Amino acid sequence: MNNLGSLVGFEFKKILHNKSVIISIVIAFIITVFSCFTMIIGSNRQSNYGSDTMSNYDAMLLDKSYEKEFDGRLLDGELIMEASRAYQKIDENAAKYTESEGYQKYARKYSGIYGLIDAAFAQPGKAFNVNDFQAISEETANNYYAFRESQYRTNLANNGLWSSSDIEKVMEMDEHVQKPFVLSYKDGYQRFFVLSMTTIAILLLVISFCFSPIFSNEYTKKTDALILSSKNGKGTFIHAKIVTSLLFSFSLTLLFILSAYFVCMGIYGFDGTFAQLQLLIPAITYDFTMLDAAVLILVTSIFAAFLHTSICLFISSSSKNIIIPMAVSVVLIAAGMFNGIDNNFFIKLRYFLPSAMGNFADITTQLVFNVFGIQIMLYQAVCIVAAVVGGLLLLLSYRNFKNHQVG
Amino acid sequence: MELCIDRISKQYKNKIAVDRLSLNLTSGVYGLLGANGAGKTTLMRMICGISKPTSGEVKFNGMDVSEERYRDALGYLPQDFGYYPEFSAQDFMYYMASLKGLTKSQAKLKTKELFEIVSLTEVAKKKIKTFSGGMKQRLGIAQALLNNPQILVLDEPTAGLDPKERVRFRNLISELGKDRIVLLSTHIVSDVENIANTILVMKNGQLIHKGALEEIIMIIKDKVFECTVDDKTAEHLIAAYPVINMRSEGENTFLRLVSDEKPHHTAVNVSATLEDLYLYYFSEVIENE
Repeated sequence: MNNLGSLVGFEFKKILHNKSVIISIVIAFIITVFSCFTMIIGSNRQSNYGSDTMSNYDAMLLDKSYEKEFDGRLLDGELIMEASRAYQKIDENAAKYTESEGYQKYARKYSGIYGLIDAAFAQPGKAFNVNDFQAISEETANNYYAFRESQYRTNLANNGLWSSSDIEKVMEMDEHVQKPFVLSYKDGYQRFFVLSMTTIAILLLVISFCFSPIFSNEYTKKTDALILSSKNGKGTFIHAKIVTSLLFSFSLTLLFILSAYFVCMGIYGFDGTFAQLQLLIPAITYDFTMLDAAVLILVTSIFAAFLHTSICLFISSSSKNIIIPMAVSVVLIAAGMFNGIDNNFFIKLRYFLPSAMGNFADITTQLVFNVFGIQIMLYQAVCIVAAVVGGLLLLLSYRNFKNHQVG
Repeated sequence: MELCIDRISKQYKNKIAVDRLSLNLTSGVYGLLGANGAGKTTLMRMICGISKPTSGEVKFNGMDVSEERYRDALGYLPQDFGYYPEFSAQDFMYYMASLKGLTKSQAKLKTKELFEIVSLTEVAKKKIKTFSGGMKQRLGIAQALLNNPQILVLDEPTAGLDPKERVRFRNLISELGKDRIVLLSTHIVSDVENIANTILVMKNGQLIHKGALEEIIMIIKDKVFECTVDDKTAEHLIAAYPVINMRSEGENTFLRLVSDEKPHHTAVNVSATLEDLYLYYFSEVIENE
C-alpha cells in the first residue's frame, strides 16, 4: 500500500505541533495585514489644509473622491491641458505648493494626471516639474503618447540591460496597449503592489522558519535511524516531506498574498480592477489590467515560494545544523531586495532570487531574455528558472536524505 | 532464512570501526557483546542499511540491504532512538506503521496488540514527552515489532528497563527468536546469557568469538580462580592478572581473576561465566574508559 497520504498527514502534524512555527505565522500574518493600513493611519503635513488637520484616512477618501471624478475619462491632450490650467492656479509664492490653497482647491484633484505624464516629458538631467506642467503647450500635451514612447525607448537604450532587438520586442508590445489611457481610481491595487516587496519578504521568512529544519530536525532528533531503516523511509517518506512542504508553502503563499490583496481592496475598494496597468507605470508596454498584474504577482510569488522552499529543503537535507539553512535563506531574501550592484550579470541574477520574484517593481521590469532564439520576458523567465532550479533542488534533497548516513 | 554479512568493513577517517567481518545468521537469537567502540552499533547500522559499508555486502535471502523488500523484513530499535515528543504513543505507532507500509486497519490492530505486550495500553494516548525512560524504551521495542519483521535488530534494548520489565522482554525475545533472526547488543551480560542461542563477541571491529554460551565459556574454562589474600599479595596479583572482581573483606581482599595457572596457593578454580569472559576480554577497555 502506498502510505503517501497518511505520511503527508503526519508531516503536517509535525509542523503544526511546533509552537514556534505557529507563533511565527501568526506574527507574520499580523504584520502583513497591519502594513496594509499604514498609509491611512495618523496624519502628515501634506494632509494639512489651512488650519485643519486632515487624517490620512480622510485624505485617502478625499483623493479617492477626486480620482473617481475622472473614472472613464481619456488621458488625452484636452485633459492634460485642463490639469495644467488647474495647476496654474497654485500660488507661485507658496513655500511648498502642495500645502497652498490653490493646490488643495484646484490642482490636487489633477495630481494623479501630473503623476502620470511627468516622466514622459522629463529631459536628460532635468525633471518635469510643476512649473513645466503649468507652462505645457497644447501641442506638447497632444503628443504625450509619442513623448512617452520616445522617452521609454531612450531609457532602455541608455541602460546596458537591453539590446536593440530587446527594445524592439518591448516597444512592439505597446501596439496592443490602449491609447489614450482610460483613467480609473486604482489606489487599492497601487497599495497592494507597493506592499508586494514587504509581503514576499515576510512570506519567505516564514517559509525559511518552517522548512529550514524539515530534514535536519530528523538528523538532530535522531529519528533518521528509524525512518531510514523502514520500508518507506527511503522513498515514500521523502516524497511525503516534499509534498507537505510544497503544499504548506503554497497555502502560506495564498494566505499572505491574498490577505494583503483583500485587505487592500477592503480599505481602498476594488476600483480599477480592469484598468490599464499604465495608470501605475505609464511607460510600461504590457497590455495588462490591474487584475492581470495582481494575478501575475500571485503566480510569481507561488514560484518564488516554490524555489525558496526547495532551497530550504536542499540545505536542510545536506546539513545537520538547523541554523545554516535558516541563515542562508535569510541572506538570499536580503540579496533579492538589495538593488545596489553595478554589474549587469548580478543585476539580472538578482531578479531570479525569490524575494525579487514576488516584488511588483522587479517583476514588471521589461527585461527580455533570448532562449534558443525565442524572446521571453522576465516574468516568464523567472517562473521557468524557478521551476527548473527548484525541481533540481528537490531531486537533490531527495537524494541527500536517501543517502544520509546515520552516525 | 539467512542473513549473509560478507567481509563487511566500515572505515571512518582514521578509524576502522568494523574490519572485514563475515557472518551468516539463520533464525535464532544472537547476542552481540563488546565494549564501547568495539563496532557493535556500526555493524548493526550497516545491517539496517542506514550506514553504508566501506566494503562488503549484507544480504537477506538474496535481497540487498539497499532494497525496499529488505527493509520490509527489518525491525530496528536503535540505541538512544529519536521520537516526536508532541506525538502520543499511539500516533507514533501509527506513524511508524505508515513508514513500514502497514494499512490503517493493520496499524490499529498491531498497535493494540503490541501495546498489550509492552504494557503501554493505559498510556497509549499520552504524549511521549511525558514518558519515563523505560516507557520510551518499551515504545521503541513495540515499534520495532510493528511489521512482524524477519530480522530484528535491537541495539541496547534493555537499557532503562526495570528488572521485571527486563525479564518480560527477555521472554518475548526468546519467543520471537524461534522463527526469525534476532540480533541484540547489550552491556547487560545476563540478558545475553539467558536468551541468546549464539553469542558474538566483537573487539576492535572484528568478530573474535562466535558460538553457544557453553562454547564461548570454554575459552576461559579452568582459568577462573577465586582467592582471599592480604592486601600486599592482592596488589601483586592485580598487577599480574586480569581481575574480574575484587572486594575488601576485613583486612584481606577477595579476588576473582583469570589465569592460565593457579595464581596463588590459596586460589580455588571455579566455573566460568559469560561475565568473566566479557570482563576478561574487555578489562583493558573498561579500565581506559
